[in-house]
Amino acid sequence: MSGPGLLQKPKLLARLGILYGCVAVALIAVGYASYRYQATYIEQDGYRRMAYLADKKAARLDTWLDERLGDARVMATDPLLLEQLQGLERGARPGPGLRRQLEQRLRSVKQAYGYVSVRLLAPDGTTLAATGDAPMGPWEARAVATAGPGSEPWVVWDVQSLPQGPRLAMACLARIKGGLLVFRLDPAALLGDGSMGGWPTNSPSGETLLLARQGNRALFLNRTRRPGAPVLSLPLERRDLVGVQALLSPDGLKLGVDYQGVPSVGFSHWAKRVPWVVMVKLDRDEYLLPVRRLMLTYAGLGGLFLVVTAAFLATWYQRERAEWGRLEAEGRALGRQLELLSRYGNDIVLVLDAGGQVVEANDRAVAAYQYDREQLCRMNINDLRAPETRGDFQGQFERVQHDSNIRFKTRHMRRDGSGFPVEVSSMAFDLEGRTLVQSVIRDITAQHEYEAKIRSMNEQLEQRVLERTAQLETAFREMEAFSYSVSHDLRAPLRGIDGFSHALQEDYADRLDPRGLHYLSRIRGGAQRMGQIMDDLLDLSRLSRHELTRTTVDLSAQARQILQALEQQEPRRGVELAVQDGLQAQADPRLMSMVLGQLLNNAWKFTRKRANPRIEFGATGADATFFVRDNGAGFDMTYAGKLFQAFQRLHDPAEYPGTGIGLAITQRILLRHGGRVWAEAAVGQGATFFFNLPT
Amino acid sequence: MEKQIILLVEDNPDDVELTLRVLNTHHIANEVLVARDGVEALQTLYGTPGNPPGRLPSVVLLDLKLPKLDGLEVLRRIRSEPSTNRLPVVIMTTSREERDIVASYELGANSYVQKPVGFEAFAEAVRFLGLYWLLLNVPPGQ
Repeated sequence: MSGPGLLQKPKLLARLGILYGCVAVALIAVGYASYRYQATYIEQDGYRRMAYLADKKAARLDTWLDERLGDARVMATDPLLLEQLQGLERGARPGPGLRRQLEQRLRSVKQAYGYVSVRLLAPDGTTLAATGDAPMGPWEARAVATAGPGSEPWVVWDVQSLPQGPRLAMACLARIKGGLLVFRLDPAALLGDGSMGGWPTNSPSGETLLLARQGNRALFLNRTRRPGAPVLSLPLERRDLVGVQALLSPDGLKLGVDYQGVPSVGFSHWAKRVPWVVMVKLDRDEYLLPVRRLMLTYAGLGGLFLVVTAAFLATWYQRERAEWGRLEAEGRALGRQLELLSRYGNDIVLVLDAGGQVVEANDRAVAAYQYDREQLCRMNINDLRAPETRGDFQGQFERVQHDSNIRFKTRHMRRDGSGFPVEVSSMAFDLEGRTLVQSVIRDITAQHEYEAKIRSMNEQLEQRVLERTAQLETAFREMEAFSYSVSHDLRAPLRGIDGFSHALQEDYADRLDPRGLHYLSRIRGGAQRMGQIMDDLLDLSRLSRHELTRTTVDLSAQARQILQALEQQEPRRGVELAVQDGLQAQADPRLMSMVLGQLLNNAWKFTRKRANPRIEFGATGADATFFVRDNGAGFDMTYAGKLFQAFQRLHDPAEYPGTGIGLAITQRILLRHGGRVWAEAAVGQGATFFFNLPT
Repeated sequence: MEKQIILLVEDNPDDVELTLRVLNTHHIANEVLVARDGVEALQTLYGTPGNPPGRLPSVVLLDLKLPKLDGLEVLRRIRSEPSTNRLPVVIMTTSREERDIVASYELGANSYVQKPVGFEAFAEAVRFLGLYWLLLNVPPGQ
């Protein structure tokens, strides 16, 4: 599970470049192959055409010569001519008549067949008859001299140097019984009609050349495009010349330069009747023009395609790069996190197959179980469980598949057999069609220790609470015992003091003077007052122990009841009473009765000296603040702070008797209810005691 | 009229004397038996070996805080004995503790009187008790 980040930085530009390069190379290769194929075809086509043309031209030459030779053969076997020659003795000169006849005959032949001249030679070479006076050329004489014994006519030729320039001269020779016929030919008839030198199509450089070898020179027999001499002579050493190549090799394609030095392509074909070569040639440029055009087309289209593709890719890349950058950044972050999670994560991660076989384990698993990764990947999950927790993996697998995520606690086992508590969270996922389970396993040993610690601390705490509670209960019991003791034991002697003082008053009144009786009454007053204080103190202490039972208390009713009792005790007071109706509170009824009793008793007490006393009980404000108001003695607000403290009195006890505990009890009760009590007063103006209770 | 007997169970001699003074002053009882603690009270009611009990009192005035055996135990015993289970018992104590009051009534006390400190009030209470239980109350089965 360790390893490089899951998301690699996409080297897209490089890949794109390579891809583009491959496409370009492939395109170029295909284009080139196609071009080569096409070019070869075109070249071969051109070659075939030139071969055909050369063949045709050569055939034309041969045909023409054959015609001439045929004519000569016909003449050589002309019976009339043979008859005329019959009479001529060997070595004899013809007479003027015969000579005239012969010359007439030759003239008609010359005219009929279009020869330049026709001449009849005797076997020794002397002229017997001729159509003109022009002498025989040296090349003709040479030919005659070297003529073999054959009967077939033949062709001879030469280049004559004439004042107008070199000229091709041709003659056809035929043996005749008793002589030799020489027909001088006009090469212009062959070369000048266009069928020999022309080109079948409109071509700027195409031409047909008639070449012959003379000594170590190549002769261009027909007129070339080069201005100047009609017969051109170039040395045979010039092997770069297509013409020279043609003269030195058999029929075929020739590559080189032409007589003007222009690169050319030619096709040569030897003639049959004369040692001449017919050659058709084109400037190389023209020959290759279709190929070049094709190449340009291919290169242009291919280049255009590549440029357009490149431009498109570049635009696309620019547009996408920003997005890739963002995704890349996200991916990097995610990858780092994943790597951290899987490598350094505190949790064991196991991937299991349907049979519980471990498929993958992280570093943490290796560290926790103490097996190496290879061993782990050969194990079953049951091998890693503590013996008492081994069991049915199939059921769990189905549960994971069904619920997609399950969580449970169990115990796993290390290689050394020691167990440790774990919390397992398993999740099913599909990988290439296989359902696998990924279990994230947390070692909760530390958690267990903490829990144990917390438990023990809780137990200790509980123990301490129990101890404290016991101590409190002891203290409480002691306090109760004390209260009980106060209530019981201290009151009894007081009762004794009062009781026996009373007995003295009753039984010995006649024996005591007024001062003695006064002292007795003071003793009794003190005893009774002390009893009252003890009762109040006990009330106060009892309040803390009294349990609050909240119910709805009708305060108005309680106030009326208390005031009624007071009126019964002192019916002549004539106090004006005002009790608001329907005042209720959620409180302990007994304690509220004590509060009202205290406040109303006080009001009753402190209005004693008023001419028209008035006591009011009511409520003000929305939050139900109750009040008890009187128009009695009131008090100085300077001492309001002391009002609710136990045994604090603001009045002379002789004037207004009391123990000074009542208001302390009142405050204690209201505080226990969560409420409060306060007072507003002025000396001689009466007092108002406010209290409220939480609703 | 038959002699009326009151059993006063009280350890405080002051209270005994004051109670007796009130009862005498108002001529309420002919005979007042005084027991100083719970054991003595039971001996008075049930006698001791070789010393059988006298006539049952008409009413028992029982203090709660007593030496040896306290008032509530005495009351429990009185109520558990068939001979005395209907005997009127009035708890007269200085205690104002509610638990005492509740416990007393639960154990079958006929009345509960808290002894006030002031003598007039005390005298009034004793007088009323004596009158009520001796003169006005009609015991069952008599």
